[in-house]
Amino acid sequence: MSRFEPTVNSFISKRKESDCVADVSPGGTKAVGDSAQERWEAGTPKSLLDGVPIALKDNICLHSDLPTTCASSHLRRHVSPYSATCASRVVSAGAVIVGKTNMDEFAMGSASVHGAFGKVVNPCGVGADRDGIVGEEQRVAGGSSGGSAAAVAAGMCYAALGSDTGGSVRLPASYCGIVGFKPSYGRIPRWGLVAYASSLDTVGILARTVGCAEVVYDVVKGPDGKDMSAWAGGETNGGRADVRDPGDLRGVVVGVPEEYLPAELSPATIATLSSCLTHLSRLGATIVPVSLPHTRQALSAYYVIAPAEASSNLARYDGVRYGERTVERDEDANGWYAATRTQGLGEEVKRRIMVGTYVMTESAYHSYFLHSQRYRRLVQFDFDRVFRHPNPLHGPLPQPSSSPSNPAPAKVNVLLTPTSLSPPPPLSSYPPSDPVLEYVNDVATIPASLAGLPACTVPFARARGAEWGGMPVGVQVIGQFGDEEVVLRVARAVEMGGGMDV
Amino acid sequence: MLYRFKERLLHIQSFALCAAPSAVNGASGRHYYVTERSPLKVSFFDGEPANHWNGMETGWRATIGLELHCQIRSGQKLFSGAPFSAHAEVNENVTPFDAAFPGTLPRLNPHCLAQALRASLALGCAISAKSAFDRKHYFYNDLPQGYQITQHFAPLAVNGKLILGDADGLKDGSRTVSIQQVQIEQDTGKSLEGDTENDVLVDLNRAGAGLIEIVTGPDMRSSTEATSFVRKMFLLLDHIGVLAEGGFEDGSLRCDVNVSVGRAEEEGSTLGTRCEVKNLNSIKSVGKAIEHEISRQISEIERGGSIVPETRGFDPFTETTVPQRNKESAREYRYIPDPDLPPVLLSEHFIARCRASLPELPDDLRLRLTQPPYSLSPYIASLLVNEPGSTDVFERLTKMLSGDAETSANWIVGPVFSHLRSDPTTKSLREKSFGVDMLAEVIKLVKDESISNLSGKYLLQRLLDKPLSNSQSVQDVARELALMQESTGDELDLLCDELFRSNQDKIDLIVNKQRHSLIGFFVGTIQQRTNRKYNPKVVDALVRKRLGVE
Repeated sequence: MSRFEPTVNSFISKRKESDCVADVSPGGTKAVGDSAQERWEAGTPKSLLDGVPIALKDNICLHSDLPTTCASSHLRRHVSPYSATCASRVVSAGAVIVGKTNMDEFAMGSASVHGAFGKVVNPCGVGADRDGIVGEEQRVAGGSSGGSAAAVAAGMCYAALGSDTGGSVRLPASYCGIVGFKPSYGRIPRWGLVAYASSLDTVGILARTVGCAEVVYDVVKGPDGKDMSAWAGGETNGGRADVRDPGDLRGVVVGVPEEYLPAELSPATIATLSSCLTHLSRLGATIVPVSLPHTRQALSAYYVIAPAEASSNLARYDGVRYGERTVERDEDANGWYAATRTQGLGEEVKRRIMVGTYVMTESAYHSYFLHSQRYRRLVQFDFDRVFRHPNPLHGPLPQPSSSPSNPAPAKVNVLLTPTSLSPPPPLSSYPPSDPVLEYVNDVATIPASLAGLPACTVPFARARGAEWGGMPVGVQVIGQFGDEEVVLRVARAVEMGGGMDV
Repeated sequence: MLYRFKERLLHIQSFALCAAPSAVNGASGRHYYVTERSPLKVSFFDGEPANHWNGMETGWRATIGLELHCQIRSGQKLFSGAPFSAHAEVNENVTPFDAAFPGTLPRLNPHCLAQALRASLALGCAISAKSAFDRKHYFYNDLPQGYQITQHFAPLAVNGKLILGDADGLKDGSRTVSIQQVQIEQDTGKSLEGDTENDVLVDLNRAGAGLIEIVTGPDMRSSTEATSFVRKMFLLLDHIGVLAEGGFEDGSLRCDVNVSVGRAEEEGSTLGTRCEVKNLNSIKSVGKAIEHEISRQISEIERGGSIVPETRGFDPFTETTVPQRNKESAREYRYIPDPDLPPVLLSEHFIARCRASLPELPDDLRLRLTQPPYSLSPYIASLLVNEPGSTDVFERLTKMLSGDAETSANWIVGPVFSHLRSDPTTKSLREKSFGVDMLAEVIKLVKDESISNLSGKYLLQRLLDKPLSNSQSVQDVARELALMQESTGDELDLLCDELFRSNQDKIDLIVNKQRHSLIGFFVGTIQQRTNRKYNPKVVDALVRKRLGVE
């Protein structure tokens, strides 16, 4: 940690360095680690995570002396009086929380550059990657869980929890060359995850391997009774039987949606994807092209729905209870709120609040907000039409009668897509002057978020050349709602073929 | 998980909270009202029954609609699991959710849902099989989340009605008031004045408590109708156990009124421009606010002006309404569906269970009391139905008195009610663990003439003030107080002897001049001297016997 952290800037707050060496006070890292060591030696660890260092994204509440800032100067001194469900679960499993990781303010961003605590630097560009390939310039770590991704990639912790609203776990994981897993919406309770866009927010896991991610996932999954939007359905959606063994994919159908392969896709990404497909077909999988026609509208729908919910969720940071009250009282109440929020919130957050506030107004509600919700549903139906198993949220769709001229689309177990269309951008160019340039980074991750589907990015290759500079390339496995196990097994299969250069 | 903030109020800086009272074109000297008293005077409503707006005489008509906010009776708040009580200490019942701590989520309290459903069923509403929660946004210091969770797009229930009749205080016929919708929503916190003029303190005890909002159609025509409606609604919600403990003074029922006026001859044409008066917290203010609005709007139109659609507040001291904000600065609430709460899907079974849990509704109860076996007068029946808990006492008492409904009712609306009024700590018979057995004992003593009617009332008063101890019976207390009437005794004979000796002139008149009315003098004097412990009939008979007159 002392080696990379000064450059990478992946933590907002962490357990004292000295805690890790000499501190034996109750609750100190060393003490926790030591007692875990004793339990392991006695053969009675609390879980596979006992004594394992885990980092938490700083929008996950932890009842400790570490603040929960969401990378906002508004919450600079906010200490949560309770712990998030996912945080309590890893702590109960014996994990050592090493710190709270850096991020985009309130998880709004794709590059971890929009925070009050500085930009996160992609460790793959500072000589921290496992193959020793050193990039020529510093790259962005991706966002918004960039600190979590960088901390894992730089080996500062075993795994990290992040949050994924439109790709905030998968994009930085892909940029940093690690595994990023976003389960189905509601699989991990949101209690204690500071809300950005509640209908999309999902706790996700960042780890170096799929196996590591699974260990953490097993600890944090399942409803807790405090989150009414949590998914209380079964462990799997019936797809598990179709994929028994990551090494044997016979009978497994992998769909490649054509809409994820636009003309502007980087050649290295295409090369990665095609070698990955070759690898999977060698394992016995059947590869089929599929179409998800509403993918194109997903990005626009997301950037209406998410800001609207953000505008609502962030209304509480008005300076009365939360938020630094920098402005003296004013006769005009609304002016006072406005001044406080203008000072306390960052540019990107304010931009999304303004957009969100606008689309919620009476005049724009139908044309923007409702319209986007309709598209969200169409995106979901797109997925349901291609998956072999019906969506447990609403059962089988009415099937259009198939005819020889209009054959029924192939039914797939999982979809394989790129995680991002382009390499991690140079840090010097971020944040871009046109925010849309940053928004398009999420184009491949947003559809699964809108549909609430489980998705996992796996690093598959390193891309040479000036454009990529040895940066990792990830591929994304998307499964039907509730089919986490299928996604993780196929992700393992992908992982088995990874590590090549393109 | 309950975090206490008792030691410190959430301290916030202040700003102008209320619009300054400005010159209001109030009652202009013309008297538009005819004052009359409602036949019902129910103790726990503050103030006098409202005046009656008589539109027919002046050629104007008024149109009134109401929004009522009823705190739901439930041990816990709507979404947080925190206890809710109107009498908690400042910031005592506050969980992280109630204070809108980042990362907290709402969890619907099913009891509040059931209560709202029961209210909807009692109002004859159509229940939505699927309803949902929405967020209504505005910034205010006692609204911690920056939004209120309510039901805007898909309310719990729609299309109910409440019928007002003469039993509810309407003099001329009846009025059907439509209930447009019933929705569940969160209450806000309370802003309190701070130490200095510019400080505002926030108490979040009430924040997140469950409310039912009931929206009526623009169906009422006078302040009498509106106040009757509010009174009736209060009684109904209280009767079915949905309204939180406390009354208007605790803010458990609050009211917004919408008022517009128009020329009477334009009946049936479009409604006039309406003004809303917000946050009325007593029946009296509802009446006064409506009356003031009607007179203000009429004067405005008669002066050639026009009504500006606006939200107004009510000043209870001047009994006038004052402008708060007009349409130009009307709030944009930016409603969106609440993404933290799944839609509420109600099964037929759940609805049926809620329906089955409703007691007999007040109108049905009133009707039943006027029919055999009770056959009470409509007036007495109304008195009983309008006093929470008294019908139950009445029915039990009547049974103990072998079906003597009249005696039973008279004792309740008489001595029992007057005791209730005199005791400020008691608000209803339901709250009081009222001893019906004890009341029956007292009445039986009076009926079998062991004590006089007057003594009976006195005895009851004593027993209500100071309950029986375990070893005591009602008779014991009556004896202790020397209330038991005795039928015989030497004392009586001796008294008669003495009186007869000293009143020979009166005896002459009675015996020789048949002035029998003078017998009363002897009976009365004996009663007086003996502290009325003898049955007057017995005394009367004795005096007559001694004098030898029939």
